[in-house]
Amino acid sequence: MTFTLTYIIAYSVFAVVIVIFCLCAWKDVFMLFRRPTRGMGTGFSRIWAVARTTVAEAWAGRVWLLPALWLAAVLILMLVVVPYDKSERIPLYLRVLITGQEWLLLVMMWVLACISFPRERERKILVTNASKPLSRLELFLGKVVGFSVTAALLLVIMGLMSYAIITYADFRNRRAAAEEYVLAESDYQQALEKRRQESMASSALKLQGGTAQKTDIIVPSESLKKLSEEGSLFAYNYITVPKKTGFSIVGMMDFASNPPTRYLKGGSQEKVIYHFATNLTAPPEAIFGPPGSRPFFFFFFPVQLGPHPPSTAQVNVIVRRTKAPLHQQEKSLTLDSRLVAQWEPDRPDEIFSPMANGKVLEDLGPVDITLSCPTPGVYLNILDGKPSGQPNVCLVPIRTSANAIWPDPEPQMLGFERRDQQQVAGPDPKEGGAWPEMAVYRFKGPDLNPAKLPLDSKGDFTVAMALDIDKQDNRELDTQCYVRAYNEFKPNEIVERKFDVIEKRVNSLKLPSTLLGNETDPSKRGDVVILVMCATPGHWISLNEQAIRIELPQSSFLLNLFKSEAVIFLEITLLVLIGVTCSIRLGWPVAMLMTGLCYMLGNFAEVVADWQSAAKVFANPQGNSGILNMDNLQKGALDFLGLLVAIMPDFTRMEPLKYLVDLRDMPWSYLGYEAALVALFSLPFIALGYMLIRKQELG
Amino acid sequence: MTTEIPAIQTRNLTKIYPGFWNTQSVTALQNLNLTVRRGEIFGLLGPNGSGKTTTIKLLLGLINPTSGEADLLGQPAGDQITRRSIGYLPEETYLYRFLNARQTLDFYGRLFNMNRAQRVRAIDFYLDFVGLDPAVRKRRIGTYSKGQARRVGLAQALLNDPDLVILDEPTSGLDPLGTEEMKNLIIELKRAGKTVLLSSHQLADVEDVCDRICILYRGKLEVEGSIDELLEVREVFTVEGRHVPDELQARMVAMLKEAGVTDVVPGVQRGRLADLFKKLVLEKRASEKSGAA
Repeated sequence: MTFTLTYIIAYSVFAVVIVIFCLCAWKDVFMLFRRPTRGMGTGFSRIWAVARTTVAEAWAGRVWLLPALWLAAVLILMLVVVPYDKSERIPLYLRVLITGQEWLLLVMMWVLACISFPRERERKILVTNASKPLSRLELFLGKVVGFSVTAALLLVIMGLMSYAIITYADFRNRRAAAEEYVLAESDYQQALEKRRQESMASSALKLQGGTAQKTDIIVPSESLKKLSEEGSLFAYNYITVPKKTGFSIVGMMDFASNPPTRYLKGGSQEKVIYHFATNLTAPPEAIFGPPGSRPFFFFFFPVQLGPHPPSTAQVNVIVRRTKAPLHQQEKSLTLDSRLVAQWEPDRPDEIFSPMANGKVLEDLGPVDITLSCPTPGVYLNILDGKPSGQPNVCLVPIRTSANAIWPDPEPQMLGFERRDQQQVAGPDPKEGGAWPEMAVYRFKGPDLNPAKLPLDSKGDFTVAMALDIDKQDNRELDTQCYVRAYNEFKPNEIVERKFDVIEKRVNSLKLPSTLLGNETDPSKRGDVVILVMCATPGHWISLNEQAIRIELPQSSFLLNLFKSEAVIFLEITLLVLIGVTCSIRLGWPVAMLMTGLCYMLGNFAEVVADWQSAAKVFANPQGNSGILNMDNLQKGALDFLGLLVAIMPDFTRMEPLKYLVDLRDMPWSYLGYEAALVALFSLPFIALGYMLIRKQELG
Repeated sequence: MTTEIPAIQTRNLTKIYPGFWNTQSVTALQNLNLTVRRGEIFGLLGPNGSGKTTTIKLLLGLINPTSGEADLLGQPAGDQITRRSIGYLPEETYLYRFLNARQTLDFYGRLFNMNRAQRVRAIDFYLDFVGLDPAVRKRRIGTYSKGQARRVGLAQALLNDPDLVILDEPTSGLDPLGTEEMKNLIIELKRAGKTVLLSSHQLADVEDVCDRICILYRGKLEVEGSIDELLEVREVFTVEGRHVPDELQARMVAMLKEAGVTDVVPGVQRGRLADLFKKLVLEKRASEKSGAA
């Protein structure tokens, strides 16, 4: 069963459940909106009545102790875990506070939601309640709303406590940073004075033929100063580049051509990734045919630069199925005199999906080709593959056919990867006048509306740069960053800036608004390209696609904190809904087990997808042996598991910390997406819950 | 001419509790045809397991009938709108233990969509009406005695000023004084034009307050009728009169004996409901035993 088919089945199940609900529950839904007489409430007021009692029930169950327990636990954790770097303290504290809230509340609400109905059933309180003009739907929704409100109350309490803790922690952190900076500044002044005296002494010693010692000078950290001045209680807003197409690391950029072209540096860690979004298909007879007749990849690099003769350039190729990343084939190729290389993979059946009569017989999923050049001094021209031109690579399925399969345009170029970041190296003194490596950020023109970007009095907009540095040599020097920016429609009007990198803080850079194009029509604005280079020899700058961003006005930290709390609230609401649904007909232990299982499955989406891919890789494709039967059984079980996972809400998407710990403002669209996701998964569970309680005998 | 809609009407109402895989199923109620007229106090009697509570639950829509129908106030049983006009006191007090009396009644008032002023008024009135000690009204129900909890239960059943009141064992847990008050209250309800369906084992109480009764045995309706009809002893002739001189009484007794009348007992002759109930149950049990033998 394919991934898409699994989801089609899952959503069909949702649709069927909702349709049945609409058919069965229309009367009860109608009663929700009906007012018995003028001035009296609707069904929603009855839901609220049940919800209030549910809140009272939770309160009577000492749920109010939870914030106190949480506070004690997080305070102990915060006292024990103290990061050395002051700039990481607030994000770490936020992580502890929010994760603590999330887990404590999830567990507490899970238990409460699963216990409430069975207990009322057991104590026959439901008998009294159901004898009142309260529909089963209202009773069910009242329970869900009640526990959600309880969770919301606790979140508000804990959120305000978190804010107080963080505000105090930030105050202390700033004060400590200021004190440390003053000390470092005084040490620095003393060291300078000492160095001056030493240099005077050394010149005297030199005259006598001796040598003098040198005192190390440590420059006080600018990031410390900035931290003491600004603190950490804010929420950044900014525009970033599109994840894959907007960010690349290139060996060199040729501005002489229009548009400027990118080059991959030979002998470096740089690589270029060509993504084939669709299946790489070929006829079965070609795939399983003899070597020499199978499908092959064709590589073409029409332009090369560098001191070496072009034909000596080598390329290392890795073909990898994206759904089964462990499953890959590698080959080292040498470009011939036509700057061309061909490669026929040894195991084509693991890469190519067989296709006959226009139908894909086995779906192996998308494929990535990663290419690097081990030949030092060579620069390979990377073609963007837009409609105007052709990319560097294609697949030829049959030798007699000219129907080549092309990858997606604009292949992604990456460099040396370290801790989820890419690195650009400063100039290497050994390479003489070699071009420096650079990170390219391409901001989409339509996103950059000059009317919405905050401009200063000079008409400049701000680019925020969160850069890390790594010093191999010249450790005493500050790392200098060199930035070039231009609009794609005016590649020759380049703006250049140079500044010292302040590590682990956001560096702000002013760029003129003329770069934005100043057009009202978004399509005429043109992309803004920002190139980032390391100008200090022996240093590296680490960055990722989020590192360079165009700043918008900052948002309130408190509001951002409560957006994260809202994500926790949505997650808990969904869990409560599942818990209450499970507990309608089940005893509380089984209901808890079922709810826990649903939550686990909801966290397993990616794992099960990996298992399914792995099962495909290791499945016996030919056979009619006993192994095949086992494979089919395994595959069937995995398909069923995949279906279960698809039916469950994907809890991994609920990430309350996603923006908060980066001190970034959570976009309302993200919160809206989460709310929509919860609504989408709530509907079938409400329908299911109603169906279970509708005819339940409460006596 | 219009026909008055009965307060309760059941037609072949049957309830079978299924066992595991439809084995060991239990017939709790079998083809019950019952009519309770508006404004009367109707007693629902029967030994344990006869189907009284099942009948009440079916009438309230708490459980689903296996077959047959039931109407309350002219609407199908379980109708949400009709439940606005029904008050129900369960056999035990099933209330939230963590709420106090006022909070409990406030909750039920909200379920009846009563506004704040109506709720406050009704809560004060009915807590006084059922005689709940004001000192305990703000204590959690979990701390109440059985009698106190029963009074709150009764208050919640009357909170909406119902047209039909269903009382399942209303005097259970009440002291003799409370029982007396409850009986007076039921009579009060009748005077106010309410219909009362009363299920009780306290036959003396039922006899005192009910207009009509029915007796169920093993889910079947055995007897239905007015108290007077059912308790009349036809073979016994009674003459009642005030200030009958002893001499005249003696002469009348002598005349009756002369005429060959046997078992002449001077004084008022009346059967007891308890006797009738016991007789019926014992006869049934005896016939079941002989059938089994």
